[in-house]
Amino acid sequence: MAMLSLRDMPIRRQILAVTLLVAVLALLIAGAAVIVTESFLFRASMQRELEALAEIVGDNSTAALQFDDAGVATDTLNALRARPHMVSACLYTSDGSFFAGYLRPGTSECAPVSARDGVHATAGAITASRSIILENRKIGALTLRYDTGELAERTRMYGAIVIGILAVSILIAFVLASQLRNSIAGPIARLATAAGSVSQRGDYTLRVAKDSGHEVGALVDAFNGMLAAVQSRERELRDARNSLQTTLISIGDAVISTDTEGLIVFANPVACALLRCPVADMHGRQIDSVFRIVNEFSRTPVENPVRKVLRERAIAGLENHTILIAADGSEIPIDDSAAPIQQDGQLLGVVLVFRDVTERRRAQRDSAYLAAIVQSFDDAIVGTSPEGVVQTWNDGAQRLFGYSAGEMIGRSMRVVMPAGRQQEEDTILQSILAGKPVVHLETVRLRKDGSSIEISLTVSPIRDKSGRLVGVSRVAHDITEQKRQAEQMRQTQKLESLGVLAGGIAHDFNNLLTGILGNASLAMEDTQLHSATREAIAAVIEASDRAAQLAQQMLAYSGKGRFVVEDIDFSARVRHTLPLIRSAVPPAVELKLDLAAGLPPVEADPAQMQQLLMNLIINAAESIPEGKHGVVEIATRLVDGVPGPQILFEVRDTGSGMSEETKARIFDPFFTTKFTGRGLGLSAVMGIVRGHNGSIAVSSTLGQGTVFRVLLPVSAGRMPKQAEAKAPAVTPTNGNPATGLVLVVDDEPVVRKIATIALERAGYSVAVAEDGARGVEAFRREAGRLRCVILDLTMPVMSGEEALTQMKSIRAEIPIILSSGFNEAQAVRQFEGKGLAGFLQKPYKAAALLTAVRKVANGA
Amino acid sequence: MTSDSHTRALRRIGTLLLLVAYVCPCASAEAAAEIRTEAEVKAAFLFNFTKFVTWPPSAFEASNSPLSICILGDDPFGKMLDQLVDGEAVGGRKVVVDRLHGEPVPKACQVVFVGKTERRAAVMEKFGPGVLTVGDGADFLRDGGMIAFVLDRGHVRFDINQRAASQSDLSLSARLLNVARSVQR
Repeated sequence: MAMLSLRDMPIRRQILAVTLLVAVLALLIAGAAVIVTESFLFRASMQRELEALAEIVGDNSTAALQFDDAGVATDTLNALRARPHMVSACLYTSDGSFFAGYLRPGTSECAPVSARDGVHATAGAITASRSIILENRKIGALTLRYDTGELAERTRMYGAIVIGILAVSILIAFVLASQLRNSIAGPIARLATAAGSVSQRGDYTLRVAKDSGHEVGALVDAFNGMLAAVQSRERELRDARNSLQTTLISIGDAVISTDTEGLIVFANPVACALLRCPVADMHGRQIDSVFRIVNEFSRTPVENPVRKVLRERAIAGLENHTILIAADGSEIPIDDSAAPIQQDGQLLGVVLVFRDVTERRRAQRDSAYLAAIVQSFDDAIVGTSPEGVVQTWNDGAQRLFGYSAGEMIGRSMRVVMPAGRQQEEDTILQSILAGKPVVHLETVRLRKDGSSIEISLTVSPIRDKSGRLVGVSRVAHDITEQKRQAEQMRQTQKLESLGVLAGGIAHDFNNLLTGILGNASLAMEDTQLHSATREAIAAVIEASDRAAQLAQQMLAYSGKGRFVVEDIDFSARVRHTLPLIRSAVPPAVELKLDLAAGLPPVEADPAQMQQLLMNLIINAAESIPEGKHGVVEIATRLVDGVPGPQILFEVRDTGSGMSEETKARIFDPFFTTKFTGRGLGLSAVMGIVRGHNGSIAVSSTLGQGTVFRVLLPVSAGRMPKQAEAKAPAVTPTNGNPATGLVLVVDDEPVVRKIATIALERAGYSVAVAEDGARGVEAFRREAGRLRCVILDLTMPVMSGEEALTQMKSIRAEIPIILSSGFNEAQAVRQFEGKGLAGFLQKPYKAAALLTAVRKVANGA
Repeated sequence: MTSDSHTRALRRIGTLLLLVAYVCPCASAEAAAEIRTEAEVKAAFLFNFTKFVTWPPSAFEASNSPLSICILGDDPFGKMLDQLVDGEAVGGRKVVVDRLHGEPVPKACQVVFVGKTERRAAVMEKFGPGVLTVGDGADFLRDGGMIAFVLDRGHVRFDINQRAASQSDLSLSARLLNVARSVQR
C-alpha cells in the first residue's frame, strides 16, 4: 500500500522525499555504523588496556603477594585511583581470599575472580581477571573492574555529532532536491500537461519548451518530434481517407462494405445505381435485404457472399449464373467477390465488389460463337503473330497437321514446313508485311508423323480497327487426296484409253481372225487337199489360234474378255493349275505352296484365274537369274477387307527385284524388262483383277525379290455355278436337216463371207446385213422365213443391242445369237431379259457357228 | 611438582588469609601474619627471594646444578626450609638446602643465609661472586650483606643493599626492590 502511494505521489514530492529519505538513511546508517564501530573499537581498546594494566599491576604485585606485603600491594593498587573509571582493583591470594585492593569511592565490593583469565563484560563495566604466576605457580589473582561509562559518554558524543551532521545534511539535501525537482519535475509536469491536452483536444500543434540538456530535455525533444510526426501522419491519414473515399466513389465497380454483422456501412454510387436503391436507404440495413441474388436457371436464392466471408474469413467469389434482383425488380447478371476486412488478425467487416456483366456476357457469347465457327471449320485455320508465332490453332489444323494446339501455340509455322521449303515462311511474311492482301499458294507441308501433305494455302493479314497489322491468318486445305485422285484419274484415263485401244484392236483383230480361221477351217473341209496343203492350212489354223489367244489377252487386259463366272476355291484352282505351272517354271526354281484350306469361294472366271496365276507365277520365276537357285512362294489366305472379307493370293519370289521406276510401269501394257516378251502379261493380270473387282499390289526390293498380292472379294453367292445364258427350250435335235434362212448381221465383210460359206455348206440359206439398221430391215423383210439371226454386238449405225431390241419387237420368237469378241457373261448380263438365244465367241470356227445355229434353229 | 608439605604449608597460609579476608574485606587489608612464626616467614621469604634474583651462569657449577640455599652458622629454620624447598624449582633449577660448616665452596651455594653467631662481615668477604647473602638485622647490610630481615611493626620485612648485590653479579628484580622496606643502591 505504502509503495503504491509512493508511486502515485507527485514527482516533485517524490524527488524531495526520496532524496531526503536517502540522505537521512545514509547518514543514519553511516552514523550508526560509525558509532557502533567506534564503541566496539573503543570497548576493545579498553579491554586491551585493561588487560595490559592487569598484567602490569599483576606483575608489580607479584612480589607483594609473594612476600605477603599487603601494604605495598595496596599502594600499588591505589595508584590506579588516577583513573576515574577504575571501579575496583583487587588482589587475591592463591586460595581466592582477598589480599589487597582498591575500591573507587562509592563502590562497595571488589570484582570477583573469574574462572578464566581474561576480560569479561558485566553490566556497565568490564572486568579483567588475571592470575598472578611466579615460577609457574599461581600465587594469586588480580581483578580490575573498569567502568564503561566512558564508553557511554563517547557514544553519546558521537551520536550528537552524527545528529548534527545529519541535520546539516538534510538541509543541504533539501536545497539540492528542490533544485533537482525543478529541473526534472518541472519539465515532466509540463510534458504531462501537454500530453494530456493533446490527447484531449487532439491538437497536434502543441509543443513543449525545452530547458535542459539532459534526458528530460531529450524526452521533450522526442515528445515534440512525436507530435510533429503525428501531426503529419494525421494529415496523411486525412488525405488518404479523402482519396480513398473519392476512389471508392469514382470506381467503376459497385462497392459495398459491411460490419461484422452484415449491416451496410458504406455503399458507393455505382452500387446504389445497380441496386436501384438510394444511398440513404442502404446505410445500416442488412446486406441480405439489399443485395438479393438468385440462380439464373433455378431461381433459387444464392448464399450472400458477405455471409460466406463472415463465416469462413476468406475471400469468396460468386457462383456462375447469378442474377441480382434490384430494388425495382430488374434483373442484372453480375460478377462479384467479397473479401474480409482484417487488421492484425481481427475481422472488422466485409467489402463486397460487384459489376454488371450483361455486356461482357454478350461479348463472350459472340466471341465464343466466332471461335466455334473457326474450330468447326473443316480446314486448318491458324492465326500467327506478324512474326509468324502461332497464336491460335483450330481443330482443323490439328487434323491436318497432327499437332495439337498446345503443341503449336508459341512456336513458328516452320515446324510444319519441310526442309526444302523453309524460306516460304519468310516469303509469306514479307509479302504480308509489304501490304499484300492475300497470298495463295499450293505447297507441301509435313505432318507430325513425318508424312508429307499437299495443301492449298491462303494467307491474309489480320488488322485491328486502326488498320495496324496485328497478326497473320493462314487457311490451309488438304489437297493431297484431290491430287492423288486427279493423278489416279489421269492414270485410269490413260489405262482406259489404252484399254479402249486394246479393245478396239482386239475387236478388229478378232474379226480378221474370224476371217482367217473361218476360211482356213472351211478349206480344211475340202477332202481333196494335198497333205502338204492340209498341213499348211493346219499351221494357219494353229497360228490363228495363237493369235486368237493374244487377242484374248488384250481383251482381258481391257477388261472385256470372255467371262464365265463361277464360285472358285482359289486354293483348289492353284492346285489344279500346278502341273501347268511346273512345266512352265524352270527346274532351278523351287516352288513353295502355302494354300489355305477351306477358303470361301471367289466369283471369278476360271480361265482368267488360270491366266492370272500363270502370268504371276511365270513372271516370278523369270525374275530369278538363270541357273541360280530361287524360291517362288505361292500363298492363299482369307483376310479382312473393305467392304468385306477377301481372298489374298500372294506370289513371292527371291528374284532380282525391281527398282522404283520399273515398279511404276510394270502394269503398263507393252512394257517389259525381258527380251522375249510382249509386255502384256501383267497388264492382263491387272485387267483380270479389275474385272473381278479386286486389287493388286506389288512390293519389291532391288536385288532381293518381289511380292505380288492380289485381293479378290469373297463371293456373295449370287452367281450360280453355271451362267445361264442359254436360250429357253432348246431341244437338241440331231437329224434335223439344216434348212432355213439365217440372217448374219456383221460389219466385217470377212466375217459375213465366212459365215455365209459355212452356213450354205451346211444347207442353210443366208442373208447378210452390214449394220444394225440394215439388219433390222432385213429381219423385217425375211421375218417369215428366218430361222435365226446371228448378230454382231459392235456395229456402226445401229448397235447390236438396239438391233436386237427392234428385232424382238418385230418378231420375238426368232432366235437371235449374239456374236462378239467380248466376254459372254457380260453380254448375257447386258442382254438379260432381252431374249438372247445364244452366244458365239469370236473368232469362231465354222463348226462352232454351225453348232450354235443348229442348237437354236431347231426350236423355230 | 608439588609436595604434600608444600601444599600443606600453602594451605595453612591460605586459610589464615581467608580468615582475615572473611573478617575484614575492606579497603585496606591488613594481613594478620602473627599466626605464622617469624622463622616460618623468614624461611618463606628466603625461598621466595630466589624467585626474584637472577644469578649469572658462572654462579653455577654446571647448567644442571641445583640452586643451593646454604645456611651458614645458626639454622633458625630447621626442617621448615627443607620442607618448603622440597620439590621446588626456580629458574629451571632444583632448589636444595645445604648447611655449611665452613666457607662455602665456590659455586656450591647461590644463597647463603648467614646466621647470627658468625663474624659476618669477614666471612662474607670470602664469598665469591654470585652468592646472595641474606641475614637478620639491619646491620647485616653494614656487614656487607645484601638482604637483611627486619621486623617492622610486627611484620617481617627486609632491607636490600642493591649495590652489594650487583657487585656480586646479582640482579635483583624491581618487584623485589619494591617490596623491600628500604633499598640501598
